[in-house]
Amino acid sequence: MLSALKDFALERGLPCQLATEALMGCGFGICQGCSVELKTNENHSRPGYRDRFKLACIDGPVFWAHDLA
Amino acid sequence: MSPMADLTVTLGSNLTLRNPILTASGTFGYGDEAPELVDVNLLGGLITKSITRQPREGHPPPRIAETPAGMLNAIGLANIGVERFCAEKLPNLAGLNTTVIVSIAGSSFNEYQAVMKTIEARQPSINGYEINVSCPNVAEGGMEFGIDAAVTEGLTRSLRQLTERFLMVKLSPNVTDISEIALAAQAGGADAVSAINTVVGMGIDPRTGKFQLSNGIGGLSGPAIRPIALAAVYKIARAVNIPVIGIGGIMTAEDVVAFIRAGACAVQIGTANFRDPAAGVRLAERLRSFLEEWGVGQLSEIRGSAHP
Repeated sequence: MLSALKDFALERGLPCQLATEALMGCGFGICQGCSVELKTNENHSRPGYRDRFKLACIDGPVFWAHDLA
Repeated sequence: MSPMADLTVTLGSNLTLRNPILTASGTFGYGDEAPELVDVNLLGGLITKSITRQPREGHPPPRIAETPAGMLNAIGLANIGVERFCAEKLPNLAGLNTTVIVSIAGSSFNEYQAVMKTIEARQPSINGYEINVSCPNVAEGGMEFGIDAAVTEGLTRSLRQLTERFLMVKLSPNVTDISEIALAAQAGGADAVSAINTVVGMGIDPRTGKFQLSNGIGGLSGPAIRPIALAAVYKIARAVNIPVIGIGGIMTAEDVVAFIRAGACAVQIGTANFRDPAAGVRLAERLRSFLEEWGVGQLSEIRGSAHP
């Protein structure tokens, strides 16, 4: 549903933020379990820590639709 | 009223813990994530998330899944890399009033050595290292080292030459005979071995047919693996004469006592931290109460008592 909403908003150029869901082990950034994939940033030659994969618990859970992969 | 039980534990010649409760690598970050939730200075010590030479972004989602009495994870060793670790995390870790053990992972002898050399060059006031040769979730996670006795011995020996600090090797249960690997770590000069890392597992969604973890296989942890861990600790303790640190599904002080009776000198708390970040502190307090109720003055009085 979030994916469909993202496509709907992006096609129409509407500002859209989405509250993502991911199973959380700890909820405060320690287990690294609740990763949310963002669009790949072409500028990064080497994958960084919490660059492409953000954590829903401490980086989100709300992300801009245009940032989500 | 019994006299106050003494929870201190001496591990080899170069490390004494305030109490036998350590937090397991990957379940407690770098010790600075939740200062408002837990006073890390009440722990016996903490073990950092495994550090690699380069930063690692980890596996795509999903990375964790629930299982009966446990969880599966394949995080993919997501970490900030040794340079940022030294710049951003070491200063805080060095200021803690608890034992700090840095976990190291790599995909080659060279990488393990490079990480250790980089940290040693800073001359930080940390207490030691745990060598992760048992992460089942990434090709670079070291498990190919930890399932081979000769390689484990060689890697341990090469790292032993780089540090005077406490050196512990974390063992995989995904082997035929874990005590053989423990003996190899001992022969390589390890001050202690810790066991067990996670048990290889898998989950498949019955409706979609997809893996529950993006990586397919993952590591099972939590109370589901506690009997496996207890048997491993018992077996290792019979084989080696260096301290054994028990890990695997420990949730209560009673569990801690069982591992000590199996021969563990200390334990690590992992999955329990996700439910309660202060689990380690709570367990240390409960453990003291237990020992006092039973009239046990020191842990050494019950250590290994399950052995004939």
